[in-house]
Amino acid sequence: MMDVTRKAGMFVELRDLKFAWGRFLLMGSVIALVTVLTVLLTGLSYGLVDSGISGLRAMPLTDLAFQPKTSATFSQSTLDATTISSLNRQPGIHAEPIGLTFFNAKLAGDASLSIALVGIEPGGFMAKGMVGDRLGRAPMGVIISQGVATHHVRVGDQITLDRSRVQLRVVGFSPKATYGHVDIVYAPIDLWRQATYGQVTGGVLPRSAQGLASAAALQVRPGVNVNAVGSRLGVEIVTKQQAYQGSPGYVAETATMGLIIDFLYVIAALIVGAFFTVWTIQRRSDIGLLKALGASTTSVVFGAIGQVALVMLATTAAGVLVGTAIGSLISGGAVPFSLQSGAVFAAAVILVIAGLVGSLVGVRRIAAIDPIIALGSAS
Amino acid sequence: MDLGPARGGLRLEHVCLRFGDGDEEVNALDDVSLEVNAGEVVAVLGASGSGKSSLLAVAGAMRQPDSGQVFLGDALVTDVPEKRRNVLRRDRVGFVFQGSNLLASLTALEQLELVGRIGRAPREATRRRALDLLEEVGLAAKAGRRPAQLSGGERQRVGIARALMGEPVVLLVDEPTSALDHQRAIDIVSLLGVEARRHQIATLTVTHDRSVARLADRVLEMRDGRLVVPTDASLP
Ligand SMILES: Nc1ncnc2c1ncn2[C@@H]1O[C@H](COP(=O)(O)OP(=O)(O)OP(=O)(O)O)[C@@H](O)[C@H]1O
Ligand SMILES: [Mg+2]
Repeated sequence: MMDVTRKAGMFVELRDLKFAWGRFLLMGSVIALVTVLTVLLTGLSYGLVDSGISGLRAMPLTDLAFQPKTSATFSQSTLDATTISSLNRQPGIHAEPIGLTFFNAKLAGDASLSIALVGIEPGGFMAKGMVGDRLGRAPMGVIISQGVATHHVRVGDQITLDRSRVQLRVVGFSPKATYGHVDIVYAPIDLWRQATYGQVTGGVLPRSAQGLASAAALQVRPGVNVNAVGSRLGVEIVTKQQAYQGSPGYVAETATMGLIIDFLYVIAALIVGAFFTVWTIQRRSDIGLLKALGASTTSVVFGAIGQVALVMLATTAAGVLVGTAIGSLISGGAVPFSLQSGAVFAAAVILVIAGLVGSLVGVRRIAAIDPIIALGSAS
Repeated sequence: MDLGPARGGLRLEHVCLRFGDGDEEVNALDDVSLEVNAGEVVAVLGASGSGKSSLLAVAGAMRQPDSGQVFLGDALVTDVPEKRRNVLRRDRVGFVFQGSNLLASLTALEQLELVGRIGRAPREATRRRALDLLEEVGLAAKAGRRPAQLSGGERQRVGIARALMGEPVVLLVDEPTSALDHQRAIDIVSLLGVEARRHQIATLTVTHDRSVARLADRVLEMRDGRLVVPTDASLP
């Protein structure tokens, strides 16, 4: 019954769309542009997230243990070997040392590059999950991620780290992995210690630095109370997702992008609301006539919202197409950009919903229109 | 089915409609009683502000009077819930509006089909009836035109055909000729008479044009909300 009522309303609204397409085109193109912007910002926001934490996200760990009061930040945290092996002895927890330090690296031909040197235990669960058994065979051997490889670095090449002047030898490649917008190089943990703590000694590991790591990579069985373990052993245990916050710039970037995108949703709702209000005022006499002819208020309201929904669907779809096209031109270049069909779809759905919410401002106006206005001067 | 004598006619009994209150009070309708039989055309003359539109609004179940009763055929439309009133209006009243009041985006045929859609009538039957009615008002050849492509008289004919779409018991006509020259006005009112008799519809038309009113079966006059029989002197 509802369906039939709605059709009676859409009978006029569909013809209005065809007849007054110019007016709808105006609102539609604004919505389409907002959609393009939303798609691009969504891509940019995912690109930033990827370049911020893709390396961490790919690590085969569930949780990380940091030194307390370091905000889960690798560069501020240090754990010693005793703590890490105590963690490893806890029931339901596998723990391994992990080191992460940012370096300025010199490539062959004097090119330089920022890298994140990630130290892991050769043969451990981290190494198995990320680089197989290729680490630790050669003492100075490292595995570079795809981003480093794009700088014409080949297997057998040398990479010299700033300050410690430690020389790394490339023994293999791994898929693209970044942390803090910097490409990752995987090293055996001992080599990482030598590079990190040997910065002032010219690459010689001081005795006091033996067995140190930035943090502990954990594989925790579900149900284990990590907070209790953490406070007992004097470490701060966070989940992998929580650890993203420690990536440089991550919080500010995601908050900024999120804010901008949310603004776009609000803008879309306001645009549709404003347009719809004006359009409803223009249609006032038509709506009065429809009601005078016996159309129910429900049917004219559904007709009007259905009209907005059609315009929103068509124009956001167009905007998604254009935005995706522009996005695929951008991605792969210097701008961190990553189009995820799920995220784009979600953004489009939210835009359509925002538009419908915006159109609700006109509903009361439509409901209040008295059919009597169809009669000459008795209004 | 409510066919037969019970189906026909519009009846108003002691209808009062007031606007405002206190010193500002206006009696738009002051104890109005009126009966229009099926197939009869009654014209109501009146100056501006005399209450003509108010009479149509109450007779067409668009406005509840403050007192009195209104019957559309055998159905009482006063003191019934608004939903029911809307349904009765849809099913029993045809309106011909001042200045035709057509929808700009619809063709002549679609203006008529819309009534069928609102009344949830089957599409095929609706289309056939719409084409028949356009034929009756002499517009079969222009069924595909939008209002902007029709003359004022043609638009008013579409308006009349649309009013007939819902097979109404009562036809209410608001200043049908205000936008037309004399000859076309005569044509339109004659057409109304023909259609009222053919479809046996009680027709009430309000106008301030005396020469138009004279074509009706009966002429009444509104004066400050009261319905009176005009003296011969007041008719030209
Ligand atoms: N909504 C309203 N609120 C207050 N007063 C109204 C309202 N509608 C009509 N009136 C008053 O009721 C009286 C009758 O008005 P109505 O519109 O029925 O006159 P009319 O005969 O149709 O006039 P016209 O020929 O100008 O269309 C007038 O005095 C008018 O001012
Ligand atoms: Mg009037």
